[in-house]
Amino acid sequence: MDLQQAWNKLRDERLSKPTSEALNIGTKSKHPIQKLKSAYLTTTLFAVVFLFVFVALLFVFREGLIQAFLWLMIASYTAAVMVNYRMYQRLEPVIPPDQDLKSVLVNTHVLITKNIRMQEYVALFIYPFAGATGFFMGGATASGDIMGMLAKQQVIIALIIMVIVLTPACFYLSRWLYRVSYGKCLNELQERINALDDPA
Amino acid sequence: MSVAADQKFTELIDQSRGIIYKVIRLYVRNPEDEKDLFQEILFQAWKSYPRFDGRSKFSTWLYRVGLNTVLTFQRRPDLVRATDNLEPVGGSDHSHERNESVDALYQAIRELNDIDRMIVTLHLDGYENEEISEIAGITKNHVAVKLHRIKETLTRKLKDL
Repeated sequence: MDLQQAWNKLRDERLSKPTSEALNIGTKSKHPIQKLKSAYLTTTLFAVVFLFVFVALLFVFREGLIQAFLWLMIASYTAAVMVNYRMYQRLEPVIPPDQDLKSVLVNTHVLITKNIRMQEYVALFIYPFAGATGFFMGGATASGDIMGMLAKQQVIIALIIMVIVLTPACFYLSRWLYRVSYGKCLNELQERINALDDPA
Repeated sequence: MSVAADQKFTELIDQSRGIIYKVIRLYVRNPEDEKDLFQEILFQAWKSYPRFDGRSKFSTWLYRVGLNTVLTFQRRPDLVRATDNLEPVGGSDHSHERNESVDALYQAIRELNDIDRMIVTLHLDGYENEEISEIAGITKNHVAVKLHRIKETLTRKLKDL
């Protein structure tokens, strides 16, 4: 039997067998871009919750330095809410069928990668301030005098060490989490792009 | 979508749903993925249907939606399905040989990478190299080279029987 005959038989006998699913046009997608879109919504909601927490903390901690850092966090999280919500609105989980496969694969890969990088690097600027704010609040709770506490050299050194350790630790932790969540999907997409480019 | 467009879409899907089954059978072995991908292809087709301009046949368009979806979807690791194994074949030696050829081809196609699998199945389904190059996003020559190599591999496997 030649290849074409075997294919016709295979197609008619094996490949046309119905799957167990009934025709049910859902409105929910499990596509990676949809997951990314949902992740943005979740991030937005978390940022809103944190915003409320920071506003509440303004009433708890009256020290000027802590208030300044809290306002900085509020500004960062307000920006984060806006950026994440904008991304949530922009992401479209429907693959344009009028585009060729390579464009779809490349666009999906670029979209997810750029997005993850952007989030990672923006967060890198927020971690030191978030860490310092927590440090000051802890100090204020323990000693009651934040400026007096900061006059001690050991405290300043501890603060610097905390920022130096915490910032890259959070950066690499978030990078690892992104890799766990999206790494496999991105690798699969890259493999297919490579297979399309492979001349053989 | 309007109710009429929705109805039309459902009718068209009903007529062409074999294409979705084919894409799923070619690319998915995990029953969970089968279910997810069936719904995902329907979802993608439904959302994109307003942009379907009728320049190509609905079945061609749906094939494209199915392939774009399955090849960008994160699939779970393959599970071996009982139905993928050779089933006992009754009847004459000739029909036994025919079934072996079909099983061997299925197995050989499943061993190809996703892209080669797509290219050869589109070719065997009667698509011209130019159409395949448009669907895949690679040049016509590139398609021809790939097809030549894939067909050699598949023919050799069938002859080895």
